[in-house]
Amino acid sequence: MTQEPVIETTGLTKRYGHVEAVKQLALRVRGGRITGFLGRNGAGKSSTIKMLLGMSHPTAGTGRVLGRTIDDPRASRDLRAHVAYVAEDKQTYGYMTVVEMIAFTRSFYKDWRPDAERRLLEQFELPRSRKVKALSKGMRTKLALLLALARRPELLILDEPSEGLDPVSIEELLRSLVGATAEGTTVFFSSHQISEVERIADHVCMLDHGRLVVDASLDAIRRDYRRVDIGFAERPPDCDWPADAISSVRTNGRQVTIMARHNVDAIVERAYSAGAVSVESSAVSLRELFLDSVASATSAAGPT
Amino acid sequence: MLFYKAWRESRIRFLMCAGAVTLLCVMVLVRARTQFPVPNNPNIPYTAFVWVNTFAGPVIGGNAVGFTYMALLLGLGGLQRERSARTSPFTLALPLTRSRLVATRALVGVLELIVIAAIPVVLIPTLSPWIAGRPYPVEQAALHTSLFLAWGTVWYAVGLCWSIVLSGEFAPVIACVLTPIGYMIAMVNVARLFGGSAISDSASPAFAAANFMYFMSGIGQMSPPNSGLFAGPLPWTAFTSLACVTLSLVALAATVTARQDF
Repeated sequence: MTQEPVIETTGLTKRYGHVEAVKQLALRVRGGRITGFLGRNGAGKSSTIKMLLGMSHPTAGTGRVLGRTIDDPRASRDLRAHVAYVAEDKQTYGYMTVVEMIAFTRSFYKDWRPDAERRLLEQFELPRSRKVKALSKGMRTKLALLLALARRPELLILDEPSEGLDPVSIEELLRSLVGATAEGTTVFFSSHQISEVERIADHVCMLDHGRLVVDASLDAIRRDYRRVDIGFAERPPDCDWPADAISSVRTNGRQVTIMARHNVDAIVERAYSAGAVSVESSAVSLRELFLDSVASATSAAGPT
Repeated sequence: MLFYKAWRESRIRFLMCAGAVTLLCVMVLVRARTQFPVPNNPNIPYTAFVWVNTFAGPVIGGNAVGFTYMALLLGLGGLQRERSARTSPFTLALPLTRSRLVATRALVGVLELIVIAAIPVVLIPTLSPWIAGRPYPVEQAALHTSLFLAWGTVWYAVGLCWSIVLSGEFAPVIACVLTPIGYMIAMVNVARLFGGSAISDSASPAFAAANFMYFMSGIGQMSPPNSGLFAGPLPWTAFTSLACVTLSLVALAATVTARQDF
């Protein structure tokens, strides 16, 4: 398992007119892992993925995927030979049949696995001779997944892969992604479904308003991140909390809630010395962390 | 397989155009059977009858305009169209450069145009003895067709450029409809500045080549005049110039595509 980053960006920025979709993004995705890419609608996830794959050009900054520069057309073409991608829309050519679409895609990749193609065709129960435009949304999603998963790419990038799938298919998809990682593929997927990310991801990157707000392994989140609820007898005093250890501080009446990244003991000690009457520390779920990060980033971004 | 994709995406337009040209050729021969010799002008040779109805049109250059719009129609499609159909992410994720995507599309389009232009070359000389009861020389059909093709590829490349520059379903189509009209208006006015008529004046070889209706009709190549017989050498300078314009437009299309965001 390689520990070199398969995706690395420096100051990556994308501007559409006056809107800055991605801001100074410094992203590092290590190989051999499943990395969940979380963010709200319009957070900049798809824009980032499009820049990584050479579909749109960065306004500023640069990036490398599998050691190749993303904004060099030839390097981008080479890297795409090693990357499988499932786009948010999952649209393929409506005028082709399922079998034609598979044959078309197969012709571009050396890492195609006919055995996986057969297995997935059977598993997804795709009607081979039906035109893509006549497939249901779920079926189209399955076809797009088949075209990506029937290969053995070094990197699998999926944009909202489970959207439009039924629960059984989602389960199969998640198993496939774990299986792909076991075979050496790095998986990088964006999702709104925090429970899915929590189930299979090793690492999480959260984006909000184009900025990276969380970049941590799931183990580190479970181990180190804590919510500290502090109660005061009167109005909470202004307190000098250790800035490097906290993600956010919210005050509600006599209650202060702190989202701590680490060093909870120091926060607890500081709370008691400030006159706290009760201090309670609890583990943080990915959902809580996501909502907190998004809320913090939104308040930091201010009104637009 | 990229050629297959380009073919599948354009084949309905191609078949429509090929069908229209086939119908035109058959109708010309059926008319020749019943209306030739022309009652009020029995001295018109059969070659002139075929030329007027197939290559020139009732208004000289009219059929050239028809072929122009076919070429423009074939040039439509591509990544902007795919963006509307939301298939562009799939295409752009393939391990291909955008230049190759454009070049493949251009090549398939020009081949389709050649096939459409070849229909009169095959059909008229072959069917003329059967339907009209008169022979028509295959080399005459080929020479007239070469003029159609030279400007046809330019118009194809114009369609290709509009399909790349303009997004949406209708904007490229509207641009394609208006471009030949705008071009002819500009030609007429430029010709007036030099004291000539862009529609029928062949005094300047440059104007003759630049006026697509005049050039494609073959009127400047005919001897004796209005005989329908293509005489003299092929206009190689014009062919080369038009080929350069076509290649420049395809290169422009590839450059613009490479810079676009999808």
